[in-house]
Amino acid sequence: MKNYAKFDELRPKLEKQYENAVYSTEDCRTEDQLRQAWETHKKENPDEERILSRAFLIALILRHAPVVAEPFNPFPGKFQTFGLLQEDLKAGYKLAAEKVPGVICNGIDMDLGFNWMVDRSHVAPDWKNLLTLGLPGLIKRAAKGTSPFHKAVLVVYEALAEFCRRIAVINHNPVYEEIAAHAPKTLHEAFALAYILHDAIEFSGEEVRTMGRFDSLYIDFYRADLAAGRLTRESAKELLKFFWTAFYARYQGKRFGKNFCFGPDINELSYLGMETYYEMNTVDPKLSVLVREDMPQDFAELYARCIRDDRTAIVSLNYDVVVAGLIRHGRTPEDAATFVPIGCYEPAVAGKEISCSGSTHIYLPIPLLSVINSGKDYATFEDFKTGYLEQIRKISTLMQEKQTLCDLAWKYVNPVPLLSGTFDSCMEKARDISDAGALYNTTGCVCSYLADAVDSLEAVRFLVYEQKLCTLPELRQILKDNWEGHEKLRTAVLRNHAKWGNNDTQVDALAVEIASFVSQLLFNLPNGRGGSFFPSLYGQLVVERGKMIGALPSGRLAGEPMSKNMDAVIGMDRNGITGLMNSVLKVDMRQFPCGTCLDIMLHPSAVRGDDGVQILVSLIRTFIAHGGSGIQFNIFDAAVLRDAQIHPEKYENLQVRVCGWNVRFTDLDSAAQETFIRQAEAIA
Amino acid sequence: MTEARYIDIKRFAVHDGPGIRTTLFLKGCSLRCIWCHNPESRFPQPELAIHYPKCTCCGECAKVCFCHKIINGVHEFDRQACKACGQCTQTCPSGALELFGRTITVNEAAAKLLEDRIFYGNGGGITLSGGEPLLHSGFCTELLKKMQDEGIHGAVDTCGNVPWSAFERVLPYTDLFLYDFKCADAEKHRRLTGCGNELILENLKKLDATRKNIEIRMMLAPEQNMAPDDLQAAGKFLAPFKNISAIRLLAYHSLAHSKFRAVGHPDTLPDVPSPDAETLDRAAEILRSCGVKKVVNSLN
Ligand code: SF4
Ligand code: SF4
Ligand code: SF4
Repeated sequence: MKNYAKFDELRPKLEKQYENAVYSTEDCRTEDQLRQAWETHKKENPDEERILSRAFLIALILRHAPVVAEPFNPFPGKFQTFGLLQEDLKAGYKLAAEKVPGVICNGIDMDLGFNWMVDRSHVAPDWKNLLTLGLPGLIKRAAKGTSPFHKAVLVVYEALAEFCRRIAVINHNPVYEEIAAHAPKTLHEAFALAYILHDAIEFSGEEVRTMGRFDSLYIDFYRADLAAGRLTRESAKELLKFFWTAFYARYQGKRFGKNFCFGPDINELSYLGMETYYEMNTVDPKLSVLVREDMPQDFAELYARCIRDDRTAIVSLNYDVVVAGLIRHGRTPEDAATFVPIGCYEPAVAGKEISCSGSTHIYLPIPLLSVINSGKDYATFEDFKTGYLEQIRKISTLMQEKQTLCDLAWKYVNPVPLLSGTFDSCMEKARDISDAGALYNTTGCVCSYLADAVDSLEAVRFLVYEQKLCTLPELRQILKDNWEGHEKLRTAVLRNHAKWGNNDTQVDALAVEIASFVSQLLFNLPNGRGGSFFPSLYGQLVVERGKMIGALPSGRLAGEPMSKNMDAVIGMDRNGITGLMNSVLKVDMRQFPCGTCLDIMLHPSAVRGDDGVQILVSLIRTFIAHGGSGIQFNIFDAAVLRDAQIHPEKYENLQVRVCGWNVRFTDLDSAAQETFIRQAEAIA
Repeated sequence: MTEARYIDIKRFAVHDGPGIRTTLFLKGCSLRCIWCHNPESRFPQPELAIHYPKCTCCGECAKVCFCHKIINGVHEFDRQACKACGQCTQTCPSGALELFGRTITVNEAAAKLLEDRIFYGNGGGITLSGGEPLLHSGFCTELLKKMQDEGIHGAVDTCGNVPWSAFERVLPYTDLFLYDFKCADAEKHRRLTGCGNELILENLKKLDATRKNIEIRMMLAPEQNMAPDDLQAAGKFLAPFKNISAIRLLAYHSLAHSKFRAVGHPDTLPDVPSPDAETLDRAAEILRSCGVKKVVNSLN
């Protein structure tokens, strides 16, 4: 490896590399020249296929746009697009509207409770193919075909190789010369190639959501480097820090974070990577760990220690459960075994599946409101519940219609030859990813805000059918009034201890029923790309969507945040995290091949010291051993405690360790709370 | 069916013995430590607690029972007249009222403890604490036996101030004793806990002879029981024991003020600062210098 300055010294500069980027002026064309070339091309080829014109533009930029290739940076290669790719993307949407009549490429219906979209943010290339074939291999493969698709792939990869050569010159870096000329042989070359392709795909308008299984993809390069004396363990860590910081630099930790996956087979690189992650203490990249029961205890401790010490951007996924879920949904066992999370928690078969996992959402509490507002009367709670489930069925049909059009529109919006060229299936079918080129063309459906739905359903049972505290029409009015003037009733509902997340048999049964229902409903439901809908069970954008959702029977006021992922409504898991986990474990996660996740919050004192690391490991292993899948942690800090002082009702479940015992934070007087806050500040 | 009064069931208890545990806190204690962290657990009879920081003085409780009165925006409570029936706790909208000392049968307790059994797998289990759990040795024996039958690790958190016969009953079913050690000097012990320590030290010796696993818990409070003399005396006493797996040092906090107020007991918490990790480290050093092995600082 070329000699670079120490990572720690360069880190601030590297992190700001996009802000302070100075683009080269040699070896490139000006904005005007590029625009002109692009306009001329379009004029000369008015009927060109979308994928070919997109490929032309990408190639034009890769070959001729200004680049930054700072010699101090082992992973340079930013380029200036002058907004051309973005503008053309807009043109793509316009084209899609013409070609697919009736399509709405990004829509939401908050009256019925669902959304749909052309999802451009859940893709990943076939990393294994990339690293084995290298650019020349991919180019050779594309050159064999004659279809417009093959041509597009060839055009972009040749341009990407040229791009590498340009960097090699400006950066005086042989690594880039090498990856243009042959498949990567060293760890640095492998990282550089992955990074270059990643960036190019992102600039071409698709968000690359996973960099694949880090430890198994790169282990051979690492071993070879060690054997040849090109790297030591320490210099490999240093290289990895540079590599990871390149991803951080792009968004400064303000976006989704770049996923690197670890496991399930743990090797030397897993340890090295996790150690490096600890040392870096960064919010981006984020890691996912595929946990199997045979995970070595010392590795489990290593990553639990990261989580405990504020490096909480790590989600654990249950390898066996995910694989079983994928097989149940039509993946072969061999394919299922290779999955990577292609989003926050959404498994997809590596290099064979495009999951578009964020395409659609069903906001589970809203159909409940629709039923209440319908004015229909239901004699029994069972009838009411059936009405609710039927309403979900109704919206799923509408959702399927809208989304199918989006699925058909993708190929006009944004073909991605840079990505598709790595997929065997695309090359065989001569079809782009956006045109159902993957082997498995999935559309995700995120079933959101389970807890709000369950608690609301249970509240209807409690208020209307069991205690008969109000009628359905009265409840409709109450919700319209946003509970105003009905405080006593609201208190009764909130204090009713039957809530999701407390290991309560009756309520949990409702959750299981809803979960099974939606999963069955979507099972094999065809999408517009020759695949099917895959359900997932988690809830995000809890604040944003919360603002759009009215008062709920659960006692939630209009505009309040929704429940996150599989969690209880904030403050309602009164039996602590074991109660919550016991509830969650009743749901068969294999029903949700597109992922699930539970968020656990802990106070730092619960996981202090070496014992604390063991506690975290125990929680993860217990969850995994009993069929749980995605799980992630928050270790509360001072700011949260401060908020708890102001809003104690939201934090009823927050426990603190005082001495040889625990109390609820909210039971302490303010002076005592202050003590804890100071302690928390001291930890930070 | 054997039953006992309890104050709480704490799930995900991670400081009451190894691993993830569930702790059952029983009511009644034979000591009266000035620094008591669980004043609601000391008396054997049920007591109503009013968590004043949560009370909004809405007056709902006063409607169901004359013991509660809201006078000029202040919640007044006639504890003498209260029968601790618990009725008023149902009415409070803000959860400010809590009854400590409901009864629980062995079967009910076992069922509650088993709810979290999946979490006990990696070295965790259940802990019986209090108050002083061994004041209910019959109940504890039955419950621990049930747990043992289920293959669950059982710990008893005791102050040691009970007849040896109580230990003898639970011994076969207990895997670990968490044994409080307040101070070595009998007179001082009397001052701090209202009771001498002869029986406690005697029981500890006997317990050690049974070869049961013992973890000593020393809660250290400045100016009370952590002067070098205190620590040296403790160290000398504890050094010869064979079955003490660890001596865990816990830091005193004066955080229980609100609890004293809630149950209306005279607040005896000493007004001293909470020792920090370094202070506990120094205490640990003194203990080690007396030949005590495996001292654990709970703040590290
Ligand atoms: S032994 Fe424990 S419960 Fe009993 S008085 Fe002392 S501190 Fe309180
Ligand atoms: S516990 Fe019973 S007697 Fe005591 S104040 Fe409440 S209702 Fe009255
Ligand atoms: S009902 Fe609760 S909040 Fe209202 S006065 Fe009584 S204790 Fe206070």
